[in-house]
Amino acid sequence: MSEGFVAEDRALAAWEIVAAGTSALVAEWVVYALAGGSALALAFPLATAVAFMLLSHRARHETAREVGWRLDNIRAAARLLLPPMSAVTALLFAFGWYAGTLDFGRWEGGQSILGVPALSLLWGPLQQYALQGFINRRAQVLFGPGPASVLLTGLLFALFHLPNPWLTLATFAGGLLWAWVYQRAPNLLAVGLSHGLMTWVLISSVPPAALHNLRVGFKYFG
Amino acid sequence: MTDATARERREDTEAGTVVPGLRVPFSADPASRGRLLKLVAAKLALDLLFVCALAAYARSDAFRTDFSGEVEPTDGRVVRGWVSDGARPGAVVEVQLFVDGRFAATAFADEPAPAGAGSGGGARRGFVFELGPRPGGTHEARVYAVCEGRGGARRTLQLVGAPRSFVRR
Repeated sequence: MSEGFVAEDRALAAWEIVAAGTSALVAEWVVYALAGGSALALAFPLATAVAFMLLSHRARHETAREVGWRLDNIRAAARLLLPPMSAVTALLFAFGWYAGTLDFGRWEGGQSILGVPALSLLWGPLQQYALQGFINRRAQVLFGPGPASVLLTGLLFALFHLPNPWLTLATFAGGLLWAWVYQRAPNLLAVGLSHGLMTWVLISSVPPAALHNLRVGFKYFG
Repeated sequence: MTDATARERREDTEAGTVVPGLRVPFSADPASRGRLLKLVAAKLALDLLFVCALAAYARSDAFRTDFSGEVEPTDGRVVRGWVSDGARPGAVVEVQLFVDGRFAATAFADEPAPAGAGSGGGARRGFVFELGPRPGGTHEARVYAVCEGRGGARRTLQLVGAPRSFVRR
């Protein structure tokens, strides 16, 4: 597949991944270290990343439907997602029950379970849009669909969660699954909701200390 | 690649699929490549500028150079001196004493400047540290002014005057 693209296309796709990735790394590692997590300072890398991705879609003539904002294949995506999600959920709940750490009301920042649906609806699809709708698609220009582009997507997702060890491992596994599913059924709502749901399952099951309050980047040390 | 070819390529990728899989319908015409190249370059340049601006801001906020002061030669019992915050003349300054590179004590320079320090227009505030018991030998005392940035969220230390050596027998 990737042979169909000339070397320039592939190089451009690689640089697009770098350019989008730098925003995440700047937000996680530079802004918190130099500006103390100022919301205003954080808004800059986020805004430039979103603007960059939208302009890139436009330059490449990608439609929202192609990127994965669609409903026609949500069942196909769900069918692919449900078996591994069910297995991981069962394992994590069993672990949480055995370890006595199961708490369905626990959520990031002490938020109650009532906040979960809202966060899942927003945060999951937004992250998956950047990861799948942008990075995965460009990874496929680079390597073609298949293991190499899925692995690159998973590795980048894990990279964005360093240096939190367990979260890095979890996001690598999740990134691989969602990238694989997206390549077969590109639906951002399905992978986004799955992202939000699995985050809740993880937080509810694993001891809070292991996840370090989901802190990543420089904030992990704070 | 012409517009027609690009359109056809996009349409090809949308249709004729066995599974609802992902297509990568990217047109690769030179105009698109040129736009993308400029876009990537602009994005990376903006990131670089942002990081540089943030670093400059953080440096000016955390490492102000407008502290001045002196530490008097010490007799081994007390360390005495004065400090002045150029940004807030006359304000009380938090100072920390390090002996042989290790934190020893913290205090506030809230006294009148020692005699001989000059008035400095009333901007200079004095400090005194009791050195307390120390093992025998030569020691080095350093006094640092505490500089607060971002409403106290960031604190840095800036050396006041020169290090002073003293001997304990």
